[in-house]
Amino acid sequence: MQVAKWAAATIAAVALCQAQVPVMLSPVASPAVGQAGATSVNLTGTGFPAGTISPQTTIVELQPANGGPAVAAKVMAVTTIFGSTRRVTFLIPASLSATGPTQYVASVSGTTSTATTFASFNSASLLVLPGAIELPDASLTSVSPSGGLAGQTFLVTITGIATDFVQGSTQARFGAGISVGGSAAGGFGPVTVNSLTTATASLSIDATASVGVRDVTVTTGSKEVSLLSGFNVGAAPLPAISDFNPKSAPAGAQIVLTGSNLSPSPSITLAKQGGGTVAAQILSASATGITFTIPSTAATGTVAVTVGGATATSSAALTITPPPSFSISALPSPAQLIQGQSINLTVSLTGSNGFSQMATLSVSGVPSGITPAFSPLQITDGQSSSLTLTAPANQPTSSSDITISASATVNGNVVVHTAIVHVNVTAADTGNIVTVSTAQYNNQRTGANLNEKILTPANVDGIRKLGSYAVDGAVYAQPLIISNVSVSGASSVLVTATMHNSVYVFNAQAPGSPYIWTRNLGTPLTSHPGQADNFLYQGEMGCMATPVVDTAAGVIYALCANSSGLWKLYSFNLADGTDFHAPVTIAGSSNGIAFDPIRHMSRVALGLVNGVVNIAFCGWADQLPYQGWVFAYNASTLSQIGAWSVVDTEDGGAGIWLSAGGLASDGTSLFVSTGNGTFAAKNYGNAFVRLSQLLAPLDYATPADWMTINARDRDINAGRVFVTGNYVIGGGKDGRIFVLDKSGPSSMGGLEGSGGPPFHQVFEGQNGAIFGCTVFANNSMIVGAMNTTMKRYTWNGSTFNTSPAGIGADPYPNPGPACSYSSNGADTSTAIVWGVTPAASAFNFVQTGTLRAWDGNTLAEIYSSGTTPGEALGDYTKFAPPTVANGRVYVATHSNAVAVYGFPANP
Amino acid sequence: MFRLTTCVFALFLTCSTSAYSATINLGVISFDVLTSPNGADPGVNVFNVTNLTGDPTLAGFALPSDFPVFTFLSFLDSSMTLEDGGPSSVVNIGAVDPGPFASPISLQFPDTAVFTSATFSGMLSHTTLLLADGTTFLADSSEVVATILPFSGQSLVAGGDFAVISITGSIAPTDSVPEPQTGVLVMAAFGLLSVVAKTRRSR
Repeated sequence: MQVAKWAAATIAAVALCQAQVPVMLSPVASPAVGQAGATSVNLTGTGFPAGTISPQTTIVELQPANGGPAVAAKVMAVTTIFGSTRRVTFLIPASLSATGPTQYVASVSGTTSTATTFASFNSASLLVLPGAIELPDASLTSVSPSGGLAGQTFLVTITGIATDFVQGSTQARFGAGISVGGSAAGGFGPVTVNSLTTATASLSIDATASVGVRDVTVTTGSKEVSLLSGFNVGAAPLPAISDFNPKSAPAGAQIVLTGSNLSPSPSITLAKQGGGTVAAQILSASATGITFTIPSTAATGTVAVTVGGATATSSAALTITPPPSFSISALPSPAQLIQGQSINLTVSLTGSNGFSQMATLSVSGVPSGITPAFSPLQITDGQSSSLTLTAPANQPTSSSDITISASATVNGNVVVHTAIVHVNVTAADTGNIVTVSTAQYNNQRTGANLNEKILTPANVDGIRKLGSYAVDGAVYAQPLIISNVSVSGASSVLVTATMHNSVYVFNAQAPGSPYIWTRNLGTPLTSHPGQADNFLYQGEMGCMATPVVDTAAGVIYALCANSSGLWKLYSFNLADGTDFHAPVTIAGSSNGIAFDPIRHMSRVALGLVNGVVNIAFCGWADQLPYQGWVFAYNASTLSQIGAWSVVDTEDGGAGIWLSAGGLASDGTSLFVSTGNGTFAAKNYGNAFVRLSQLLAPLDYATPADWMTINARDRDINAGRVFVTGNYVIGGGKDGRIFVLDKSGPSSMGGLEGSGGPPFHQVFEGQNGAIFGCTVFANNSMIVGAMNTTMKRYTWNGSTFNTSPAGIGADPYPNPGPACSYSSNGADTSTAIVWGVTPAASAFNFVQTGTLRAWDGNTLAEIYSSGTTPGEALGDYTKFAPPTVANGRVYVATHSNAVAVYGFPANP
Repeated sequence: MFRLTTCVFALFLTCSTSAYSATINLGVISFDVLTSPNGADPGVNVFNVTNLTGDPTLAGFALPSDFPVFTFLSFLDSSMTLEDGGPSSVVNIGAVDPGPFASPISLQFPDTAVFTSATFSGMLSHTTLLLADGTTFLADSSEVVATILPFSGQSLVAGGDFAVISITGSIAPTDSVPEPQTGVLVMAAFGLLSVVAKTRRSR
């Protein structure tokens, strides 16, 4: 049907071909609406004849749609669009402007350059409006507000014409020193588009922005429009300070400053300690007043207020005064709190800078179960409070720091100061239960006190020097403690002897107290053949060997030398120091040799086994002739019941010195090792020997390399000998540990490799010479040799694990530590190894000594007496181990004293 | 006259031809003078879009045979992308229905504004189009794009530069047997042409 219609139209058009070419117009002009005298309008039509059609030969007529005369319009252009389609552009005649909006129909006709005429057979509609259209350029018309002050942040509204603002792509720039929408000052920044012609910008004028007008520019990407001098940055009114108060205050105090133009966004700066300035925290601010807090680092100086880049400085200085303060102290520390008891700590407060506030006391870190109580709870400058700590009887032992705090409010701020007290909770002192009546604690010579109830690794750092017992000479003997006695009111007494030939008894519970009694045994020996080269002691020779006490009989036995070089065995009543028996001079013969006292000295601790006192001798610093000797005396009568020379020649050597240890005993036999000397029939140099009570050699063992030991002066006798079970154990200068089986009559082995049973066990226990540190307890042996680290070897009842279970951190100089061991029974967590070490080699020098404690398992050092006044041990005495008994540690010194360490609260 | 006869024949024959590819015109975009300068006031130029589709007998805007689409076609989601040497500026103009499009102010510019090109793009509301000759045109794509480039020089000249909006596709074959009415009209046309020819020869 459409085709039929179009064919009919075509036929009609053909019919007109002979007159003029019909042109079909698009029925609406473009634009469809125009302004009279202004708008160019296009008429598009098709069917235009070929050839050139000029505007001059083309006519456009506009006729009101509702009738009326037609008006010709000026044709501006005729453009060929496509094929026969052309566009005729004309200007709406101005003459049509007098009328109101009028609908016209436009037709077109004309002639081509070839005289072909054409005419539209239809028309195009056009609405003509009166007046002219003025489409303005895109432009900005206003910015409101049109200005601001430096330092301000605010919103402005931008208004324009034909700007076509688009959210997201439209940005604005307000010039130097002004940030738009958070962008960099001076650059474009985002705005919020409200409409095509309005937008809102958030401005932030830099405090230092220069004063003056700026162009405002807005870009939408394709358009960029500006409002010249559209924004003005005005000078902020200058801040001024009228006054501030107070003029003098401490850090933390608040200052009120008054003035003018102090806002917006002021800042306060003060002088800073050490130079420079520091900002103060502003608590409140208005145009006329600012309240700020003095920072902690402020120094005395003027106050500066900065507003909008302008700064006002006070004429007066703000004086920073030190704030009232205080400190607290708490004593004693460490504090010894015994189970079931209480202790009072004194907490003192000292104020400064006018501190007058009340400080409230509190304590933290108190072990559970202990009750703290302050009296009073609040104190101030110069006052003290008593903090009572009460431990129940079943309070576990512990060692910890408690923190005592005092809290006071100063200038509105809470100030807290603390003091820390180290509190040791220890077992209740059940009495002086431990007696150490012989060297190395017992006849087995294990060197261990397994009944120590107070001292543990956890609390040992709290011990302090409690005092020193003054004596008249150097003390080489290990201190002995005899408890459960009554000697001039003392239930526990210290027995000691000096190289100045005196024997003392002190109250062991009163460290530093004067002696209860003393006996001087005459002028000691000061000159003898070997003294010039003596390296076993320094100075005079008197009572060097550790005495032994018969606790049942209450008799002290001591061996001392007089000025003639004679050695005498003394016995004193413990109670008052009177002679138990008249002293006897040491003499005797054995192995065909007569004992020559001047060629011998006794370093070995005295022993008391089954009513027999044993003593032993060596030479003077290996100065021949000498022999090793052992003598046995009836303790009751001091009659000699045995004498044994280790060798059968005067130059046989084989002295017995054992680093001041005693002969070990299993209650039946005596066990001793000997030094460098002859090994042959009836000669037992460098051997372990089993002796009967009457000193008959019953068994022995000698290393196969005894000759090498002799040649290199590596005598096995340098170390001590102890007994455990069926075994005798000892070590010497070459670092080897020898384990001997004493279970049979000839089980010790004889000469190693000679056909008899070998040593039960031999291993390299140390890579240094073993002297005075061989202790055994709780199935462990701790060995501390010279110039090497201490080691712990575990014992399975017959042999040692040769891989150390614990190794100390530090080596100690010649001759290494002299050791003891303490624990509360088999609880190895309470085990401590104690020792005295010299500051440097003490080979033949007197050195400063240090009392040390090591964890009994790890051998980590857990205490050192140090050198601080009041705590220093004094000069070191070679081979004298500390004696640990009843929570205290007694140490022989070369400073004419026996020092005592322990807890101050447990004297 | 002979040529006219040939055209009619061709038109007739077209009715029975098979589908073939073709390009048809849909409208015109142009850079025009809206208002000429007046004294100190600058002139205003405008980008116009004219949709020349729709059956003219039904008040449509088709101008056959150059713009032969009788289907009333709209350009949907239309936009004009303007290039001025800087960042592109895209003006969304929405649907362009048949007839002259009333260009918004966003497509009007002072005559001092310089453009190097303008590209119109939109989506056809229909892709199957009825043409003036009764055939059916199947558009290859619903997307339509047309770009005005300077006829000469580097920038567009208002009143001079334009571009025809056209699309490609295929023209589907019509029925091989004309409608009775069509045959009568054709025969009448032949008769008329014969009379004219005979008259000329007799002169």
